[in-house]
Amino acid sequence: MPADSNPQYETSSVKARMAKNRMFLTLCLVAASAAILILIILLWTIFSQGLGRLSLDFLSSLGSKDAEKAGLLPPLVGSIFLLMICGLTAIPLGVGTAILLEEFRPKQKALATLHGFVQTNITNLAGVPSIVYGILGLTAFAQFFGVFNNEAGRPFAIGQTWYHQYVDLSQQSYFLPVAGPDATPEPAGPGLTLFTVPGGETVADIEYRPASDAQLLQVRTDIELANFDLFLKIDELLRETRTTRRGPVNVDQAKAEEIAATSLAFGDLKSDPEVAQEVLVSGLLALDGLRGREYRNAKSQITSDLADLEIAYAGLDGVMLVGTEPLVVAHNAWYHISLPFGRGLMAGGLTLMLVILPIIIIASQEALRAVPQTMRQGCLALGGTKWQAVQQVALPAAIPGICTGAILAMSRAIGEAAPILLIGAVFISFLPSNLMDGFSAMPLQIFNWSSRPQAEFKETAAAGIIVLLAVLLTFNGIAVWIRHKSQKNY
Amino acid sequence: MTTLPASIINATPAGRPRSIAARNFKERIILGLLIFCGLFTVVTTISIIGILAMESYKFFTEVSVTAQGDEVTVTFWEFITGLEWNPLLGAEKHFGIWPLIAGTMMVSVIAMAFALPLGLITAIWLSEFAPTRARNVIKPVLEILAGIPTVVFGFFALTFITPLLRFEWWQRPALGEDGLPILDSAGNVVTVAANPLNFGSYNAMAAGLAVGIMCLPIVTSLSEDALRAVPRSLKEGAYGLGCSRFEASIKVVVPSALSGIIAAFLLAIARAVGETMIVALAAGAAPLPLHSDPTAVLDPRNQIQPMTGYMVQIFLGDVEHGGVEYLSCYTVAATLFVITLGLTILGGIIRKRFRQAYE
Repeated sequence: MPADSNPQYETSSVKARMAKNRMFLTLCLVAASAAILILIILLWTIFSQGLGRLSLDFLSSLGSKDAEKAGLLPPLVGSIFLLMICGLTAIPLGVGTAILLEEFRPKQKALATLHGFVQTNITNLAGVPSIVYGILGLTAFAQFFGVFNNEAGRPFAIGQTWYHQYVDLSQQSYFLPVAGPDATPEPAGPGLTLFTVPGGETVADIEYRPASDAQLLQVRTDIELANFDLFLKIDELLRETRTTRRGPVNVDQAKAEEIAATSLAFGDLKSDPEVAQEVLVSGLLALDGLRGREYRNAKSQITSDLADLEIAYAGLDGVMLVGTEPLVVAHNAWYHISLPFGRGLMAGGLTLMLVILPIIIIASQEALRAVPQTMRQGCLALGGTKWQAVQQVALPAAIPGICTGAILAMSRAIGEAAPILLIGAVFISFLPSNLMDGFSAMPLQIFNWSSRPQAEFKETAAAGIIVLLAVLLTFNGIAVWIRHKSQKNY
Repeated sequence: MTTLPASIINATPAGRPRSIAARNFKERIILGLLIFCGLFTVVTTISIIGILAMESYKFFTEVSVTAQGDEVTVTFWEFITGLEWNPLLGAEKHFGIWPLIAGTMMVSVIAMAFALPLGLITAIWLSEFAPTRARNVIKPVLEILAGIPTVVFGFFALTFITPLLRFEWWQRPALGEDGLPILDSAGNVVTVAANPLNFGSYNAMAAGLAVGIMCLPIVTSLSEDALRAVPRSLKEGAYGLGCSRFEASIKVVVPSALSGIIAAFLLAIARAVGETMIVALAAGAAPLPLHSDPTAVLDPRNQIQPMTGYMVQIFLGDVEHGGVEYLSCYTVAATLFVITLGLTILGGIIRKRFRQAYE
């Protein structure tokens, strides 16, 4: 080979190549620092808006239509319950599946194919969008595929006590304990011992008036019906304030006064128009930024407020008509369980279980795979069975890895909003009293606050996010600590 | 020949003696329990497919009455080829899936245009060049980003990215129709965001960028795993032939890890397609008007509605249960499920089939 032969193809100069190299390294640095920059901006956006709203009051108060008063307690409690249900179901199921897949690999060809299918299936389940799990949870857990929707019988339920609920003209409720849902209702009248709340004190000061007397007056439903025109009018006027057809309504003080003044002419109110105007304006202001179900609920609240006003004006406070038929209501104990689960904590927790199950399985499999085969063989050589090798050797060695995976999966569950969007309520102002109760969760509440147009709610949302991030950070901290504490090399 | 002492022959083993039969019985029970656990995931998949198929079937057979009093059903053909999605408004309802798919694609394309290059370059840097101290900073940052709930990214899109795109720090006086500044009741000039690029207050761009940020850690960590699996000897061979670090990584390492990188990309796309909370908050609620203006798909400044966004809108809104609008959600969910499942399976196949064995 001659010493002076050149390569047969063009090469760029070393200088150019080195310049390219340097440029690429700079590009790398820029790309990598982009991640840091994004995180800093993200945290700054959240903290600059939310820190001002963060206080112990925020953590301990119930929901409110008022951004300054809205608290995080119901979603916080909801999230804790969801997490417990989801953890208690997903971890045993997930670890069990992982043990089956890792430790009990079948040798027969047909079973091995099935084994491979289950494994592929889990990988694919991990990629299913979480909102699809929400649909599955709604149909499977909240409705049991419609199995219990028979018309004749009631769904199965335990932990319920039944009451007959009597309502007086000012919508105050009174209760009478009864044996069951089928007890014969007793019409209201003197001599009936009623209670203020289920299991509460008896009420002595109900004034029973004969129905004939009351016919001269107007019963509540009539009053509400009489105001129906007024509500059609209000609805029409509010529609103009929406930017899109299904978007939120926008009402400020001036707009509310204007709508109240226009629409009052359409009602059939007997009480002081000025007071009615005041009630109407404050009711309209509460509608600001609402849409869908929330909007309708808040609107019917106005109807009931106005009817209350009329009732008080007519002197009907605390009056019950003789012969009023009671409603049948159930009071649920803390251990109340019903089938199907309905849109409650149980259905929500189980739905989240579906979401994190593949994650826990994959993490546990990896942890089990990291335990060297020789340890199991040692156990088997001493005469142990397959399960003994798993239970006493492989599983204890894999526990730290499984814990880390489980905690990370739980932190995924606590931040998931999409799957429980269909099951939970976005706005709720009471704490759940049993596992079938309606609930809200932190990410749901944050979603609700963020989607409102007012700037104050954005601040409340940011404060909620800080709490959520703090919980997540704690979870991750525990996971890192366990990983650090138990690092072993086999 | 020596015989063992009787004490040894007759000794029972220490610990609880148990019959072999009892032990085997316990073993079987436990295996049964484990198989039950394993089958649970299979039942989950079957339930998902079953529910989506059943309800979609109901959707295609549900008879709805038009304003003219005609009884119509949505045909499968109309659903998969239709360019108009209009289930709620107007006298005539239209159920053509393409506006929703186009919305999802817009968000995903924007997200991937952001996340794929950035994630891949970060992954190359992390696996090839990064000094340990830098790694110790970047890795936890990415882990934190990966752990942040998506609703937070939605909030970020709404309160940071959108105002940034609309130039909301730069206020200009609002002009009336006569070209003069509008004054409020106190006589002050009303200002609005300068918004030189005409971004809407809900837009595809902000949602897409937020989804991109969400996908960044996934792309980075999966690509990094793929790059790390490339054996040292390949790189050393490249350096030995006189490659610069850039040439070694771009011409040797990346091509060798390509199947893993593509699988990572596909998984990230699947995540972006299925992302719900970000688009529900920041993307808006108007399906693209593909039937009247097909070019709308190229304009990321307007509000759009992806498949997931539509589902959130229906499930949160006041739509009659069992109606055709409600059932349409299941059909959209089925479409979404098929798309993401396809991407996941494709990713798995690519990773398996094209994995290079180096040992």
